[in-house]
Amino acid sequence: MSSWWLVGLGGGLFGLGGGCLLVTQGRLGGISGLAGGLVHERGAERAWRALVLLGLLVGAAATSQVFPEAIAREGMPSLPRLVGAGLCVGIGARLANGCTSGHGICGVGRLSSRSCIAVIVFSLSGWLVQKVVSP
Amino acid sequence: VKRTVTLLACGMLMGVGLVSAHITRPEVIHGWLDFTGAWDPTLLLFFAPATAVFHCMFRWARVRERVQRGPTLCLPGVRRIDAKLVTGAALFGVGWALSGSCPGPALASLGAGVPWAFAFVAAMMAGLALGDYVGVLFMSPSATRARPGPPSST
Repeated sequence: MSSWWLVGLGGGLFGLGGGCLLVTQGRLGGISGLAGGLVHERGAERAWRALVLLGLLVGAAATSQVFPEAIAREGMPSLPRLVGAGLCVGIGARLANGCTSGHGICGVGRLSSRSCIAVIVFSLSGWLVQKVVSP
Repeated sequence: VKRTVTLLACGMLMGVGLVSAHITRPEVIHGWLDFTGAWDPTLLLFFAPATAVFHCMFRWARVRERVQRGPTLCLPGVRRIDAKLVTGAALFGVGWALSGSCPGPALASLGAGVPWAFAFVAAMMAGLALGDYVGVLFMSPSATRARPGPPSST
């Protein structure tokens, strides 16, 4: 496990990235919102989201060179389980209008009651699933 | 050009943050969700500063909007806690626990080029596209019927 200060620093940087997006563009940068925009938006609305996501991919790629152990390379679930999980995450995030970053950081950061509920609900349902299906 | 650089930089900060925090590892998420077992609060160490920094910048952005020095904030207008939110979040949690990943870590892993991330992100994008069809189920019959008429003032 990595040192605690690195985890905190990473969190701060993530919050800073999302904060800069709100301050400079007036937009919220939840990851599922950005990714969902690629599917549901057109033109300029799609383009700005694509740029942020491109930045994220590049930033992550560069940082994974510094911390190769931060990326899970093996020991991930089987392909059907990964696809099923990805579908649940995608549909769930679209219905709930946000994911862990959108509700957990942008939403809770704005003291939104909807987001606080969402964080509690997905943590509880995740806990239940993990009780039944071992990771 | 300036806007393009800003948008890329915002994304890069997020990507650097996700990977340097090592929360891209699924055991961090499984550890967080194991509330009644070997609970691991590492994920909270990521979320606490992220939320705190975002909160301060949100307040700053609101001030800038008020004194007309910054952009108009585009924020969700919905305030209601409804079945769609709760069902969506519950479903999200199922996928989160099954994979130990969510949109941020999955895209960061995709950036690092690991094969599993391609499958997960592809399924997630399909889910995001399908979500609106599932969302129709949550529209109340009255809302569907009222659509052709003039918008009600309530």
